[in-house]
Amino acid sequence: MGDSLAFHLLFIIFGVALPLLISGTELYGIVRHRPKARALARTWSKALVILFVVGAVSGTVISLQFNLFWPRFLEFINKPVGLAFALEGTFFMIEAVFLSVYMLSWDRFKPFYHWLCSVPVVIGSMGSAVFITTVNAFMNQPRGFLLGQDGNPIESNTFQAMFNPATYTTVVHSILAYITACAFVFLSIYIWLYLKKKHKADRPWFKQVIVALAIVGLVFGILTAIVGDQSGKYLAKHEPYKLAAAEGLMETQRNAPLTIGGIVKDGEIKYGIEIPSLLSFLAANNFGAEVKGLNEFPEDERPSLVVHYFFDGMVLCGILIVLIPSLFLGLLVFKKRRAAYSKPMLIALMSCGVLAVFATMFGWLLTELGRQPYIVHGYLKVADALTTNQAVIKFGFIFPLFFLTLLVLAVVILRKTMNHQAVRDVDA
Amino acid sequence: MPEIALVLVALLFGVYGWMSSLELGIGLLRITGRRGLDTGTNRNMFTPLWEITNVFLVFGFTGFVVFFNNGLQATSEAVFTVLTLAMVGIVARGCLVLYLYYHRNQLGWTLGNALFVLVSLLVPMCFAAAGIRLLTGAQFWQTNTGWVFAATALAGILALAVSFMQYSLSRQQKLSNRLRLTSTGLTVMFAGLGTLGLQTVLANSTNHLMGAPFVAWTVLLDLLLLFTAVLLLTHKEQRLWWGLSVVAVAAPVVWALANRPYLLYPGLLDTAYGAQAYDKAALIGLGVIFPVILVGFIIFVKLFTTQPKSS
Repeated sequence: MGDSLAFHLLFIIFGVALPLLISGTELYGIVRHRPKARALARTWSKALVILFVVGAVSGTVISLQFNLFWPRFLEFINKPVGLAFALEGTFFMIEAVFLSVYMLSWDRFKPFYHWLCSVPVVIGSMGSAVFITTVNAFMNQPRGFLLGQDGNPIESNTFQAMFNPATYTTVVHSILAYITACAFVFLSIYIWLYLKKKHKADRPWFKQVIVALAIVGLVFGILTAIVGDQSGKYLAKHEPYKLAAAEGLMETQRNAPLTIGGIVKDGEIKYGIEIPSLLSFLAANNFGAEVKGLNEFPEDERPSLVVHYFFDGMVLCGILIVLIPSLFLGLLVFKKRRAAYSKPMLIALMSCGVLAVFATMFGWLLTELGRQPYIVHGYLKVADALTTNQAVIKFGFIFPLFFLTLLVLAVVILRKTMNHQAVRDVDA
Repeated sequence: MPEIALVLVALLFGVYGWMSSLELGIGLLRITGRRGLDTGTNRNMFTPLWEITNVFLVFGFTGFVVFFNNGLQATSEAVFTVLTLAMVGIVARGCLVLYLYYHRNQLGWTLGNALFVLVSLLVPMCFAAAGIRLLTGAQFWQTNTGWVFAATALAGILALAVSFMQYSLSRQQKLSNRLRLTSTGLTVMFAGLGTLGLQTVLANSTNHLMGAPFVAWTVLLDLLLLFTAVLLLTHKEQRLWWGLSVVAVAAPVVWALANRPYLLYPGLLDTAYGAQAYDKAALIGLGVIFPVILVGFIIFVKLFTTQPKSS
């Protein structure tokens, strides 16, 4: 099912963040009387529908797969946080219904009323993201229930379960990362278009879009990094096994070093660069703080050290997507326009789209694999949550093929849809 | 409380069934497009409707999972085969929607259009098969009751799709007699199977489904027949779609209530219900948010059915 989730996450990034970008761009166009901005929002909204269709398909399949493949998991998790599922579905419905209204009402409502239709779309997309991530936070920090004799939760306190210690960092870090990734992917697309000779006439307004997206991406990238730091401190306090695995810290120690790079070999991380005491500082703002190692946890309950790669990958990508746009915008601030729009700088900036998507994917893998062998930490193991029906394995191979087809079709149609004719028509 | 949740979930599946039948109608319109329908109308059919349909399905499943979490293991094992087939159909449908969007001016008998029609019929039929499994305690192909239920569902889906074609074409004064006849014939077949057919098999097997909801179902179908006759006499057959829509949305609700006190026969509804901790909060929340969704949906339907011909 990992293939379905990974594919879905790719489209969630846009489903959550793009409505916000579109709504902001349209409002800017209305307030500042910039018809091109409205036309750009219209082009993006067409792309959003394509992305939403694909996301809805993969989301439907995931919803069915959870029902069919993970019934034990759903039975367990629904008592404490079933309300979060219900709210996620409701907000998703609001987003879908008003996205349809929004799309059908271009040219039929006055601009401000049309923009108002985007507000429920943004609320719906954000709301559904918040509540589904709340479920993920519960899987990391299960709270608010007592365990019955049959191993199922009883006497649940839904609000305690939903608003557990993991909720704030998990939800905020994820949503900020989605917005960052979305802005940078769109930035990459516009740089790619800018570099193509056939779009020479569009370059002046492409430049404006590139600068705007670089600013949005950078601001949200910095915010993601700040919450990421809080997330590290949360991990040290509430999920020390995950932090220890991410850093390959075998023994509990003070002045714990931060390991950069290296390879996982013989149950430890070798050949990595160790920076003394930095992990202690990141975990508790104190170079001498004690950080728990994997020795504190039973061997059969330790996550795989492979999460170290994902942690390092996420941090590296995160640093780059803050540094590169900072350099680009810095050059513009200091009037070095030629250097800012040089090919190497633009190619570096274009890579931010891929880096931001990778950072999001690595973060997700770190969260999920860092919880292994549990699906609900401390209560339900992955092996116990899966259905016993053997047909799962037989059918499992079908979906990647379909998803690949969907991805190719989506890319082909997006290329056709995002032709910016509406923006050029403004000039005409 | 379990009954309220059951009605809510069934209603969502009803709306999904209605919308997917409408998609089947659009698919059929594309196939017959060269014989009357202009490409502008076909282009306008490709709107965000496609994702709304799936959203109702996701919402229905979420409702089922949230409210009936104690019965998930048993239900998922019971409907595993048909719903896995439905999943394949949903992903294939997603691929086809994108493909047809790209080739939206290719009307007539093309492979893409034909596959889209096939998949649009397959997916709701899979869900109907899952519903039959819940109602009868057996797969539809294992019992006579199951076969009659499946035939009724097939006739209902086709009648709704063809009546939508009739509705769309009549708005452009391009309605043929053959289509009129097909639409009326399918509706009569659906009503006949749904009343006489089911009454015969259910009475013979002394089924638990015979009760007040079944009487309501019979009355509903009789009213549909009466409605059809009035429309035929007044030459307003294009309105048949509205009557069938009401029946389509109501059908899962009526049959879910008929299945009481069971959810997955012979598994009890009360035993499967597991939302005691938060059901009131969920229903109050839905009650607050539902008017917003309803307003949005009404605006959407209004905009969708009054689209300019070439936008």
